[in-house]
Amino acid sequence: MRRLPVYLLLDTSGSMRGEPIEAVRTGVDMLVGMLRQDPYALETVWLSIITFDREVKVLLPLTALDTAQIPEITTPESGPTHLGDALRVLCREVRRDVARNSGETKGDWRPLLFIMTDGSPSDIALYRETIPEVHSCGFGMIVGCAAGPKASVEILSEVAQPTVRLDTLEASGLKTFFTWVSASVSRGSQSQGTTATPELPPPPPELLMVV
Amino acid sequence: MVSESEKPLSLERVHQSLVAAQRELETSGQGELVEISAHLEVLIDRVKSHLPPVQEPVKIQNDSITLTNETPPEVVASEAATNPAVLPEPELLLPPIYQSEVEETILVELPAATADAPSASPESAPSLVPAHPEVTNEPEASPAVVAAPTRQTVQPTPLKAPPPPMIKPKSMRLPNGNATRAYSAALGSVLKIPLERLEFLDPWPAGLSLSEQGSVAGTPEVAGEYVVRWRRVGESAVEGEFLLTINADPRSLWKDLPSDRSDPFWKEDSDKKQGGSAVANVVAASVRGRSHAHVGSFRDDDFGMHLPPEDDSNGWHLLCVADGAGSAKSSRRGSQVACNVIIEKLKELLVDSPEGLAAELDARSREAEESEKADSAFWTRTLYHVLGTAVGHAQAAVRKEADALGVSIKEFSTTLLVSIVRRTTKNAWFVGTYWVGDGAIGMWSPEWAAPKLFGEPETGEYAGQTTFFTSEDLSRAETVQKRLRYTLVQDFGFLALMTDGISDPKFPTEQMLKMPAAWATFQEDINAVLTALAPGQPNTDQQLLDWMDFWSAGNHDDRTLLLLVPRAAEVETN
Repeated sequence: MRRLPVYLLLDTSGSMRGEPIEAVRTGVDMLVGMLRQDPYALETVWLSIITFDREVKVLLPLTALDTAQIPEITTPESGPTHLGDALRVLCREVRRDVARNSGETKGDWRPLLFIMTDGSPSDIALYRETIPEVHSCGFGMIVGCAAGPKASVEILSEVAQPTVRLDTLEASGLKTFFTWVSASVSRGSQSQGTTATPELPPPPPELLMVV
Repeated sequence: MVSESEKPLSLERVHQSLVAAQRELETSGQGELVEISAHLEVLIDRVKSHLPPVQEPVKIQNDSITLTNETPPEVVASEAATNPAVLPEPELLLPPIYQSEVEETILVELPAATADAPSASPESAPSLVPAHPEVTNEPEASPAVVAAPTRQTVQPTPLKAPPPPMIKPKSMRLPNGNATRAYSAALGSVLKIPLERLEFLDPWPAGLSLSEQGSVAGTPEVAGEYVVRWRRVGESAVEGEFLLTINADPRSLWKDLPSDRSDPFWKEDSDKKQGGSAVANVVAASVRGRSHAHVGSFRDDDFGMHLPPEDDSNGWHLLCVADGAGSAKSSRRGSQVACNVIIEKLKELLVDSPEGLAAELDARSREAEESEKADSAFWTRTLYHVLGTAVGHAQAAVRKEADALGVSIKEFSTTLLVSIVRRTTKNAWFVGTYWVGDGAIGMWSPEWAAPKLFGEPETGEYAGQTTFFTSEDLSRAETVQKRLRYTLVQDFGFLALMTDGISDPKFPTEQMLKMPAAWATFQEDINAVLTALAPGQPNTDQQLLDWMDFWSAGNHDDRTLLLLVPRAAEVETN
């Protein structure tokens, strides 16, 4: 059975504390709820959630959408944003879990990656060093979301194309992002038999597409 | 519990300032400042270690359970209950057995939070039995017995001074279920409370019930998010709740929308055909995949066939299937044109000119297997001439359509699998093939040690990647030659041409296409069709079309299958 692996990399650094992290939790729940109403997604999507602050946690290893249970997403009081380290962990997970075609195994669909951050990587050297590895993981699409005034769109675009930006960290905006992710994943799971990059649905007005 | 007043207040201020400074630096986005923020962190940790413990909300979690004070249960419950419209009616179609690994995931001991647990701290125990707004509800499930835990997978986390008034019931999440599939989950060690001392305030999802052994089992009927609250018999306060997600049956979510008939490249959502010659019977069917039906788009697959007249024992059977690329806008037209032109051109080359390949075939006096090897140079050259010419014409015809629209031929991308089959006057079968892309052309007989696979399916590293006939550089002889295969056999069970909508679910890996066991299973699977086809019974095409409606999770591509069965052959029924 061909799976569509979907990876969410979520910033849980100290600055996300409070309303933003609540919005992320609600957003992830919404995302899962919406995908479960989509027959393509329900049959094919496997979801993984990796959070990063000072620590990188594989909160949900790659799991079938129908059996996935979303663990609590928490944030420390303060601390750096180790996005570089998160990418490193991501590459390890993808290489271990995503199946490529061979005589004996059935290849998965190209995995999709969504990265949401409200800052810029504290481990910038590791971040830049890991980007080529991420790009060799075979992702069908890497979408970035730079949320809030402190998020660096430029740095995030180094790994994620396209990158969208959210001007504020308000709950409504973050939820919009997750709704759009859900639509993108649905679209991704539909575009089968394709070698082309999955087409993204147009982002809602709150999400500014960075060209 | 250490009271805050026991610690110097000034240290707390230092901590707050440091945290504020660190956040400022960290979110500055400037490399150096961000690095300094990382150093500051070490300092913050050291200061923090001298501070009194921070009050955290009561949240304890592991993989399978969560104690949380979020999401009032009654909201979730009413959403599921009052909004039945969004929850599709489940279909009761041969549900696969679902056996949840309850032993692994559910048996947990909740942390020291009950009166039964002697280690509970005096502050935390009473506060976890709060007055719940819904306690006036009458219990809807009768008390039953909860089994004692057989294993414990959670290490108790000490509760840190929960704020007294706002505690909500403890939530335990059960494994997710699927509508119409059997479900079973042990409630586990519900606080080590005997089941007869528990009462449930909400019903279990329709189709599920609590057994005396303490597991929730049955076949859930309706998808939704369910909350089942419980309390102790005689207590008024709700003590906890079980959360349970029931997924919809994906079969109930698929829509079947008609395709747009006004589209210039519209074609029927399904197609079928059958026919016979003096020596063989052929049937083909092609259906739109669920993924296309769901959004009202078109069938991208196609097929074509030309059979000799019924009194001709040595005529050519010309067969092909094609799968238009899902990503290419006009691929349904690409597959259609390729099939039509291939058959037309092959007919011209093989049927309309009486000499040629047929005469050469008949002239070979050797036994079939012997000729297959001995005359390989001849067969390769001849096949190259016939099939190479035909595919060249087919590609040119597709390109012409693309040019007329002023678009790239990529918009017409399609795979192509062609077979020419003839019984020689020496009573051997000759099969020549050309195959580009995924899907398969294979031949099988139960008496064979291995199937004959006429090439390699071409797939990329990931699903959905393949090569397309329309992208082939046919001006290069080797490009064409490497796609050609042929065989000469005395007899066989059946020949199958299929698109990946069939080969993916029926031969899940490429290796399986080469395995005799996989072909034996496939034969068994379509045996009813083969048995009807051998004597050429009417409506075998409809029978094949019905068979192709098989359910296979995750495989919702267009499906096309073409079968040829020698008339003389008796298909074994294993």
